[in-house]
Amino acid sequence: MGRSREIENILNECLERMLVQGETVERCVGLYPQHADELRPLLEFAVAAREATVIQPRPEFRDRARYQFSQILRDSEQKARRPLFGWHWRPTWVATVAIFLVLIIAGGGTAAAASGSMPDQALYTVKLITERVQLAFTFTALGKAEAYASMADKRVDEIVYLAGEGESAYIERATERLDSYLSEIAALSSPRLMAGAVLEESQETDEMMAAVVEEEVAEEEEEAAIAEDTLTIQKTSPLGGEIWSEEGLRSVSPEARVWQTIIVYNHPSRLRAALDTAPSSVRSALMQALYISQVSYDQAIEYLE
Amino acid sequence: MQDEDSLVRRAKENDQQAFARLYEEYFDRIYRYVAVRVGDRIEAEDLTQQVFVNALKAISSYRVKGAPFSAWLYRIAHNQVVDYLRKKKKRAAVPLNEDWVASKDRDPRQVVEQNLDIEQLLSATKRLTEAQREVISLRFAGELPIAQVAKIMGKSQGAIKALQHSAIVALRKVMLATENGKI
Repeated sequence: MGRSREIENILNECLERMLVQGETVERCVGLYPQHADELRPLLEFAVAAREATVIQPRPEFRDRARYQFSQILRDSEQKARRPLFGWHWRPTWVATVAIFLVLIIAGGGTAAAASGSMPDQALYTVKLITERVQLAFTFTALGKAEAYASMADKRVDEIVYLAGEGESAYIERATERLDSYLSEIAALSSPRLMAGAVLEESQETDEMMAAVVEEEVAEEEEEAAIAEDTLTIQKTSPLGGEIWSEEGLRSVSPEARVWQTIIVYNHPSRLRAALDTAPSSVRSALMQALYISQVSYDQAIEYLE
Repeated sequence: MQDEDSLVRRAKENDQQAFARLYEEYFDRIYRYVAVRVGDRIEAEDLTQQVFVNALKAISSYRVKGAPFSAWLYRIAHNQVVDYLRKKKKRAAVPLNEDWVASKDRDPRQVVEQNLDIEQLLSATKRLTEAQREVISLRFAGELPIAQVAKIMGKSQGAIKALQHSAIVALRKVMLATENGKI
């Protein structure tokens, strides 16, 4: 047996003895004095690493997850007892309706209270679920795109709030959601979908997802080349003022209306303002959010030009 | 815990209480495994919940006489993490935790061995290879024996022992370098 294989086996045996049977490092090293110098630091480190990984989930997350999962279990049980209906309902709709009913029964007041909650607060999950339910009950491409735009706007509000709180991990999560919503908007904003087609969950969703994935890959390839100084911000819309009038909004195509909304929200401007006062610990996360919103903003301008 | 095989059999027959018991039993361990794998506690929360949703969907396909339930569940968690990482594709960039302050008065080796905390460990694991990180996660956070780790990763036990050794050596080096202020 080679020396390296031997030490790998001894290390593993000692780990089993220590981690499972509670033996001490010294006792294990004592069994292999010829390898003591090499073995001791590795075992001491392994014990420390093992202790460090004994982390507990946050209690509020554990409670929230348990509650959500109990709903899922209940839903799954009901599904197993079907048929309750004479037609085949899609499972996703069963889940959605179940959540919707839970929200109504458990308290519309809770959902309302959750609407202003932030990612570091207890009711935030309810806020996200409410949004998803609303989205699920929106059947046109235009409606869905507008819902995503509204959700994106809320995520930006949250990112600005989180920047003030110095919560970079939450900012990254909110940014990922923002990114996915903006990708959905781009995928939904094709003239064909906007022409009034009611979205089905099957083929069209697959096509859209493929488009989103392609876009993500393309964006990631470009990402390395993007530097801070490329984030030049366009403070005023290049578009004429008349396009924002009621008359103008009525006269444009549905997809143009969605892109206009992106420009009106002007997320880059708000994120840049947050960046000016943000603590250094969140600047990197905030820059990523700014980059993502800027890409979408530029896309909107390009489309409308 | 009540006999696990019996719980799993009942869960397969759509006994939701039995599945809830399995959920309670494994929730913390799966969370720990996912957190160490992805290096982010917040992300780990969403992913952990998804692991159990996927397990619930797939429980009818689990064979009681096949691999142990824990290995099956960790396999689902492993797939979930792999999917997540594939989408994220940001492994190369490893931001340093600015809060880390190297102690000038203490022996760095002592600091590493005695004061290792999870945030440091999570950051350090990002410098390991995927396979090394997987072994550390399954062995230390998941508390799985070497045979199950080998099954989940589709490798021989010898290969897992080698990975385990190289992972501990590499991780310790990263931690020492960090404490010395070289990273």
